[in-house]
Amino acid sequence: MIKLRNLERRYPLAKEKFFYVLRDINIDIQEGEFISIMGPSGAGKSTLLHILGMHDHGWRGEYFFRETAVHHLKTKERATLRNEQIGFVFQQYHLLDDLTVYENLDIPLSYRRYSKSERAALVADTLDRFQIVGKKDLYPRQLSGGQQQLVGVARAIIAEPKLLLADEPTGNLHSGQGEEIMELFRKLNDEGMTIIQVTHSEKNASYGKRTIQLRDGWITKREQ
Amino acid sequence: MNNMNDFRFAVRQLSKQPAFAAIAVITLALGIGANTAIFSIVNAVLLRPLPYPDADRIMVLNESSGPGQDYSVALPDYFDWRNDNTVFEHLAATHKESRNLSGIPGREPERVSCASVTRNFFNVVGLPPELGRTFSEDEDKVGASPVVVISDRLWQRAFDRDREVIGRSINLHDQNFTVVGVMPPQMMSPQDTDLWLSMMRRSNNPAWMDRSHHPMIYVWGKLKPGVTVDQARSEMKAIAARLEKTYPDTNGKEYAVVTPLLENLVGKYRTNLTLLLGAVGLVLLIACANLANLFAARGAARAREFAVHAAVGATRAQIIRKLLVESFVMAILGGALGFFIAVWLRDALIALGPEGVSRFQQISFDLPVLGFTFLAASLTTIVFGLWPAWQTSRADVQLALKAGSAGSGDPPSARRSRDWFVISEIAFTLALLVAAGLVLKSFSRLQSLSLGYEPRALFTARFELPWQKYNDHDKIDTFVKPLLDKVRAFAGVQNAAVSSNGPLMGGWQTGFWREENGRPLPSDMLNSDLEVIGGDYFSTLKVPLLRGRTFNERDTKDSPRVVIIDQAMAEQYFPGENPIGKRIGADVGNDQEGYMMREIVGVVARMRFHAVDEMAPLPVIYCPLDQAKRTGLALFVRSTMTPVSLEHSVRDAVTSIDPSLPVFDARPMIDRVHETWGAQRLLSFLFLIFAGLALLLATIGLYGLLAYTTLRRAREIGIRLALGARPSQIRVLVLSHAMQLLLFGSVIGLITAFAVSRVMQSVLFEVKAIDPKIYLCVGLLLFAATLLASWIPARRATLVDPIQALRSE
Ligand SMILES: Nc1ncnc2c1ncn2[C@@H]1O[C@H](COP(=O)(O)OP(=O)(O)O)[C@@H](O)[C@H]1O
Ligand SMILES: [Mg+2]
Repeated sequence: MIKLRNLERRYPLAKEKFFYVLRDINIDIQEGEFISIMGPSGAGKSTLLHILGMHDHGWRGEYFFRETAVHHLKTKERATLRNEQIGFVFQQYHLLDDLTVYENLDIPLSYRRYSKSERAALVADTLDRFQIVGKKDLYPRQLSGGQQQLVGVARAIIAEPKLLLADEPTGNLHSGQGEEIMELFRKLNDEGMTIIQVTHSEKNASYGKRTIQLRDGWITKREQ
Repeated sequence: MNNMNDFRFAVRQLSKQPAFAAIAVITLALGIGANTAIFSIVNAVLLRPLPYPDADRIMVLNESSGPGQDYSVALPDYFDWRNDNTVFEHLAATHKESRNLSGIPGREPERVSCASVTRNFFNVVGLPPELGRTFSEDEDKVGASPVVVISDRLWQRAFDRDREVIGRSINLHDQNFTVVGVMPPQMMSPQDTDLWLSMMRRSNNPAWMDRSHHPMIYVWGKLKPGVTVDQARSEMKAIAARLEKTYPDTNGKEYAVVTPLLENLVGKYRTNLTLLLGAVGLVLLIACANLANLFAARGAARAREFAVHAAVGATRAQIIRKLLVESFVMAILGGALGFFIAVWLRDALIALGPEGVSRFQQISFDLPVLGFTFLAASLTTIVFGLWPAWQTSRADVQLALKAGSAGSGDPPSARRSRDWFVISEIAFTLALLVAAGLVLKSFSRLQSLSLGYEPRALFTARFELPWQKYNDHDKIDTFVKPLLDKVRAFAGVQNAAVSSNGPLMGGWQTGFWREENGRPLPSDMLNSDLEVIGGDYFSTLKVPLLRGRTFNERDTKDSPRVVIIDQAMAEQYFPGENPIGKRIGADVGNDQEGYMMREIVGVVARMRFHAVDEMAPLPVIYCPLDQAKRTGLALFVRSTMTPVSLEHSVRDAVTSIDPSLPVFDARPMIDRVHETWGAQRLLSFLFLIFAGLALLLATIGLYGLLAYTTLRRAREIGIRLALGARPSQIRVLVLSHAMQLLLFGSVIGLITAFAVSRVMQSVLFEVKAIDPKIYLCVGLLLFAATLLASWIPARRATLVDPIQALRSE
């Protein structure tokens, strides 16, 4: 599904001097995989995720997404591809404070080609599936962290992406809540969703089928 | 000591952000400057006390038979008022006129503004003469020797402040008067008078002794101490009712109007000035709203700083005070700069201002104006400073101190208040734009108005033939005929004429009736304007003759009496008839003949005689000069010559016929027309400036809010981008916020504008208060301004980098 070849990401430090966040990254990810990326803080995990998520365009190398050569796409085309294929979960949930749970779930749909009735149906389905129908009119601040992240995950997958990217999704949660999210991820993966998550915890990483270790921008170890 | 510290702290804070300080100070200076300038006019015209002792007790009285039907006082009525009333300490009569002053060695004859007054007029005004004395009782009687009191201005101009002036003889209209006194400089009443003559010397004048005559006599009274204006009004009402019973033929439906002097002088400007003060006040409010948002945004950015203050023990009140001192420093700086703007604006205002508005030219920046500026600045501080200070002081200490907290947004209430500030700016701006549109439209209507005559290439000059010398038709003829012949002979002159009461030169009214209806009581008489004309009057003014003929050489003092009427009279009093050959009774002002039947020989098109915006014009009767004696005349010359050379030639022609006759008020007719536009022109100019200023401030305010909001919403925008929003959708996010503000602002603004238009109706000329075109233009303008203001913030919003916005650290 994803093929990275000689991918590098650097920031200019001074004239002609660069700070390499990622270098010579080569990864292959199959459809249906559940990958955990681990590594110390500052290793470049988030950077890699943003590149995979096609937010970051300042990299070099080759990036194939399901046969599409992302490195040849224009920004607009990447945005289209992202909208069709990728969902995001954030460590800080990043729900919109002024919107209800229902409305938060509706945002991704509002930016895609769904009719009004399709949107209503999808939101209703998703609320049902995540068992948060009772919370649909609440605002994020009225939810616990775990519940907020549950909404965050629901929002990430509501537009039916093929790939779910999660940057430390349980980083702000206590372990009980974290486990719930991980169970959810496992379930989604079982249903066929490809998942790439960044995590600090070995335990969470164990939900994945494979771990990629990043250290100073290099891949140091791959586990099967 | 604490105050001083806060003050120093404030100055340091502001100097740290010079751009912020500069924007704030300039915004304030514009708002306060405009307000100070307008207030200085209001102060000069409406508020400054008159220069007479107990001036609030001085009243001006006239007679009236209903609203808008005001006229002067019949002399016999004045005598009755004086004898019967118990409310006035002094009740004086005045009569304005102008005479030719000559007989001063080394001085050309000149026309001076005189007033015949009863001797107690000087008691009403309450000022003693600065030299000599005023009239004695004996000098204010029929047959008394002619004496005169002169103004300080004339004393300076004609006598170079020579104290020997007392006892000297001067010549007024070929009659010698002895100077007995000089009044102090502040004494100019009534209406710019340079010479005061005794009125009772002429009180046996038959025209004055007639109770049905209202010969431009106005009565001035000084209330007894403690008597209110209302008490005076009700007593005068009772006296008028008694007179009505005693003299039903002449005093039917007549009553006395009592108006305080200040109101009499400037009352008619009150609406205009109040409107301007309101408009400029709105501009200041808009400026305040901008500043409030600016300060609030800055306060939010400094939340950390104040959280630290709070953490080390500052109470909320202390934080609020710190911030208020900052805004106060700002307001004082803005106020000072604004004051200079106002001083500079004043000269522009005086240059643009209407002529003849009492006291307008004497705008000064005295203590009340300075006080106003200070008050405006202080109030402004509270209006724009308190809310942001309060808001900032509320910041959550823990939240603000949390490392790197972007403050995901301030409380929704703060956001809402910010929105409301901008909404009210838009609303006020809309109302001001509508008001400006109405005033501008009214002004352009006025300018494009057809006057009924052609004022371009028409030159005018006036002269007064002394009536003692020119005391019959033939003598007047010996002046007018040669003058017209001479003027017509100038190269480039097409036509010339004279008249008694030309357009925009004051009126003369007469009663009249149709012969068939029989002579009515004086109080039931129909009213018309009367114009006495000689020469080729209608062709000179380019007024078309619609029916019949104009006057010719066969219409002499001995031939049958003839008149020409205007279309208005023909339509109103001869509907569906041919008025030619019909007769009307009218008094054209010949003492010997009074009311007489006169045959209508022509009908001319309607002219606008008085101010261009006259509301209920009277019909006009024209009468030949040969059949109505007139000595105060205006000369009209249609010519392609320049006004300067024409004036020379006219003066020479006049002097060659009568060397002692001054020509005055010589200028192109179009100048007189422009002069009548003065008030409207000033009003349009100021409304345009204020509306423009409001639009500018509101646009900046909207921009500021959107830019700030975009900054605060970076995280939200980042999330939306991450969730799939396209740049165009983010742009719509910002634009729709702007449009929401515009929508709310417009709804409130429309309601305000409707209310304002209603108030303004009285100053508008032929413009309906609700004009869809103006609303459409204003709407488009505001829409364009909104787009302009939201363009950059919207663009910037699309450039938010989701990676940066969503960073977890
Ligand atoms: N815009 C940037 N400019 C310079 N350096 C950056 C920028 N963004 C991230 N970095 C650096 O890249 C490195 C990797 O960051 P990140 O991918 O966030 O690490 P991780 O998520 O593994 O903790 C860090 O050292 C960080 O300082
Ligand atoms: Mg990271």
